[in-house]
Amino acid sequence: MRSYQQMETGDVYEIVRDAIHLDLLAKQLTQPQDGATLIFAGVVRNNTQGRRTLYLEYEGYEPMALRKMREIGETLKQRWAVNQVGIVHRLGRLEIGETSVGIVVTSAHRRTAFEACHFAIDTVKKIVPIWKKEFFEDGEIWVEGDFSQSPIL
Amino acid sequence: MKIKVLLFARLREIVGCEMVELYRNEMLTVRDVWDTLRAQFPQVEGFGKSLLFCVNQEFADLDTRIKEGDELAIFPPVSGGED
Repeated sequence: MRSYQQMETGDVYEIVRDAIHLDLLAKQLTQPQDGATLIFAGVVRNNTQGRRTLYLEYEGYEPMALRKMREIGETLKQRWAVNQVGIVHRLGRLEIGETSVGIVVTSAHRRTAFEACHFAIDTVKKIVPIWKKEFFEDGEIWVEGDFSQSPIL
Repeated sequence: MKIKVLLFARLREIVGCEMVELYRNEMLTVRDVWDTLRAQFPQVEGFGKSLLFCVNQEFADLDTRIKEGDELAIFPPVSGGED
């Protein structure tokens, strides 16, 4: 299995079209000084408000998405004492239960890692230009965010 | 003047392609580009208030100035999701 490409800082930002391997990413990012490795997986749910979902399709503005993912990682490292950050987003067709976005944050202590990771996923959902289209048995819709939420960090 | 505009998600579907080239004597701001797009693709009308605009992969607004060769992108808010 391939490994994730680490930047000079050791952090990982990738957009992929196949399965995200969070166990691998976490192992790659965790270092001896870490006391916590926080792993978040955003997965494809089988329904939206009771309506049965068949599958999702993700589309992205890839160069800007990568740039925004890096920005989020840099913000994390400025605001919290985190050691390493990994953000990987998948595009294309995803089936129920598959991971669409994975985030790994490592830190000496767990509270820092939890807080930073929470901020990371909330911000990914706000400023990273990736959209999902949800396919139901009887139709399809683009899931769009709330315009009133400013996309500026 | 020629400007390339990238379109995504529902906006891409409504216009029918992922990239359009717009021509007009002068386009100084993002608003000029948006007006040109609306004139050429009237089906985007009504979408305007809920779109995001980017210049060279940074969020911009209608008053952001542009120049030839800039990369413009227009798209709906990103997919959000409940906390």
